[in-house]
Amino acid sequence: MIIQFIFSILSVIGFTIIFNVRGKIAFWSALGGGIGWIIYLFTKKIGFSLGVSFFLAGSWITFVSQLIAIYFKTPVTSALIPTLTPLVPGGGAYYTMFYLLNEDYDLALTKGTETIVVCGAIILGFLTVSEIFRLYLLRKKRIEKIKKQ
Amino acid sequence: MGYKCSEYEVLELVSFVGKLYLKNGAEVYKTEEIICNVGQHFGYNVETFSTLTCIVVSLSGRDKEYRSKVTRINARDLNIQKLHLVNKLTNEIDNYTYKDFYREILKINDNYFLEFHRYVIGCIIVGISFGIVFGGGKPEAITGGFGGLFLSLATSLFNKYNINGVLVNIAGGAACTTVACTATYLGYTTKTSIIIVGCLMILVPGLAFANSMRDFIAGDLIAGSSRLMEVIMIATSLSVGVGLVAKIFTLMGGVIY
Repeated sequence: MIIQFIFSILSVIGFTIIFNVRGKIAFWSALGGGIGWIIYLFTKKIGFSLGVSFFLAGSWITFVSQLIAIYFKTPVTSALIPTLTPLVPGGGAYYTMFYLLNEDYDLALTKGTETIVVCGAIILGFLTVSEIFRLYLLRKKRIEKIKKQ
Repeated sequence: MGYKCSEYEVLELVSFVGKLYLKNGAEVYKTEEIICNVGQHFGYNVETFSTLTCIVVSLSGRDKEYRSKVTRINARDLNIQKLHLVNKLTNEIDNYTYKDFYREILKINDNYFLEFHRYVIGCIIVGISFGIVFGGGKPEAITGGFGGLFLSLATSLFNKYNINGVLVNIAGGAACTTVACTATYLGYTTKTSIIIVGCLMILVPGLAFANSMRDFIAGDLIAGSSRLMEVIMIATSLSVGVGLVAKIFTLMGGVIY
């Protein structure tokens, strides 16, 4: 698992190089992305279903990138994109295509459904956390406004 | 503010900022927000409507007449460093006059490109590390590194001649599948699928996926659904590229594990 952790951090670093994210933002988002992948692996190991583990990983990643965005005063996108990309179910889509190519429709359907479930789980995790953050920022703004008056 | 800028100048500046921001991979709702903020800072009431391919800005002038400008966006690439700098600049807009601000924006537009060697190194790192993350060993990692190298060379060659995105993705998928299939044929590895998936993660539409979600959540349904179409298009073209080479390889008598 430690090897997996190191190499998932390395993969996020690779994405930060490709998308041209530099400096401290790249470092912290790499760390966050590595922990996100470990959360997925760990929850899968103790027997959570695929959807739940991807939900947890997705919400962790959104949380980290929102924190980075607030702390370094950068758009959320710059931390979110390199950390989210490893979680995108590229493998599921590939296997679906592969089974379709071999005319193995049952397996293709299973993999395709799995891919859609994973996508939905990530979106749901993302939505929950970013909604919470949005409400928090709105509240903070309102309090500042009241203080000014 | 001592210096009053004319409607023409503000329209030019605002649409340039929007174009720079949207071109480098920002969400549409964020672009609209920034355009309105910059316009309001220079003393005009600016409204905008943006899609992924064009920005329409309209402005109510001092003489009670409306002016508008349409900007088309025909190229798109990914450069988050530029996004970060533009965002930083617009946050500190109070410290700049109109001319300084325009000069800084032009400076951001002309510099901070992604160098070729950085792109190649990034692709190699991603190829190597996903070989291991997806459950392979040393041979998969090495083959994945070579796959990333060839993929980056193929995509940057195609991008240099402005060939459209679908063909670039097909070429990238075909390049990394060729490497993986060759390694399997030579008997070096038995986990072909892991190598192919690991290299494909470089081209997976992570940015489009994230941005479409964020646009949907912000309530911009048009931008969200057009980004979603981009995701589907990229995924389809990738699988066409991979499927083509994989089918040829199996027809020639190879086996993909």
